[in-house]
Amino acid sequence: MSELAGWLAILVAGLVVTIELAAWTLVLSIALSSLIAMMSISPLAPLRGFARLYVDVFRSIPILALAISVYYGLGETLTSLGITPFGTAVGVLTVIESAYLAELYRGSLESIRRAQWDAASSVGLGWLATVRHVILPQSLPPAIPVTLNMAIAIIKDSSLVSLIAVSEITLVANQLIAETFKPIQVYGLVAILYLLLILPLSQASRLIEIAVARRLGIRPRTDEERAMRRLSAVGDVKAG
Amino acid sequence: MNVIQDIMPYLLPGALVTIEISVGAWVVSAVLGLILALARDSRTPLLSLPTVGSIEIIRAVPQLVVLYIVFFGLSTVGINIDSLTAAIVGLGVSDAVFSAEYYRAGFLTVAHTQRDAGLSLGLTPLQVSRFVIIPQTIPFVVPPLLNSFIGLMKSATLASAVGAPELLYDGRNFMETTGQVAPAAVVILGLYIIATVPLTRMVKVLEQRIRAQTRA
Repeated sequence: MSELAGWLAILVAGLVVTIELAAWTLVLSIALSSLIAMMSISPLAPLRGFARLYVDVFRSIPILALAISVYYGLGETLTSLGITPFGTAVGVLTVIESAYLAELYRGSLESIRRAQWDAASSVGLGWLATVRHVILPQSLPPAIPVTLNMAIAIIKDSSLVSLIAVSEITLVANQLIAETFKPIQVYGLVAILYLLLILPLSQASRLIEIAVARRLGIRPRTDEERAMRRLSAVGDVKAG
Repeated sequence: MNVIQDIMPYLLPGALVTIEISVGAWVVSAVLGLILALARDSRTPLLSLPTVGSIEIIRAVPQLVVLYIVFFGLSTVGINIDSLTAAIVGLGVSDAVFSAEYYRAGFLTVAHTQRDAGLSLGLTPLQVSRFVIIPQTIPFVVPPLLNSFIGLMKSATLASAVGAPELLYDGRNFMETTGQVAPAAVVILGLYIIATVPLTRMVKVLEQRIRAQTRA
């Protein structure tokens, strides 16, 4: 029993690093992807083009490939700049997850009907004022469950940076297995800890999604609409 | 330019392994996903409840951890599989829980009156699924399943963590033996972009076409 307690203490310490990693990545990704999503609906073609390019490129690159490239390629430069593997990991995860999140945010921004833009411009609002006072307030509530789903994806993807020496839970578990030679038990505990972290988030996301849909009156009516929404919702939680 | 000439032959075997892993894992995911979807929607709680549980658990566990469990875990219980098989099984299982959701959403596109009609003709529930529901579901699940394939092409990089000689594994070896990290990194990342962007576009077009056809 005390052996289990010892393992748990070690793994929970790793889980804390996972949470820190995911929290930093999520906050920075929300900022970066909001900016990119705004660019993608801007009236200026170069900004739209940049947003498109960013999303296309960084959704194509595997997180691990970028992490390894940056870690091996810029390792010494980053160390001399005082950037730790943790910082590198946050950077790599943010750059890629932002591409996915930007695309989801663009979806919520574009779900606002064209007529609202026309109405705003007819009362003399400019682009920025329209976005700020008309479009954003309406697209924020549906963006909450989307962001929570992204948080789940980020937590899961953060396990990849165990391969660039960040002591999050997966790396800590591997070190523990190197000592104990009990992979099933240790990974079993790791799976339970991930589950405990993610289950409340996915539950919250589901409840908020239902609440938002009810308040906005955008409940899917037909079976087909419901199915289509579910089809796209599965894609939401699957980044990486 | 010389670096690219040096690196291409070095990366080619790895690229083939990447394709092998992604195709293999995709087949596992598509087949297992359908089984999971049918089991989850089954009216026997003995079948549906454990399926719901496993789907929820696997959904919450990172692909890398699933892969480690398959590779390191199975060997401690006496099942030894090579890293390539482990990658195909691990990534496939991890992806199957998402495919199951695609199928289940696809089933919803078929009006439930059709199930009732099938049952009233004396077909068993499984026969209704096979002859009535699934054939009509296919157009709806093809685009998301193709997207899954694109995702698995990227996830195949994880196989390098258990020593399967895929693209990133070879690339890393090249970086370590030649010290030419930056050009190698550009080539590897470039290959992923070249492979993924057109495929993603094609799936999007296909999706729109199917949607337009089914609506008409």
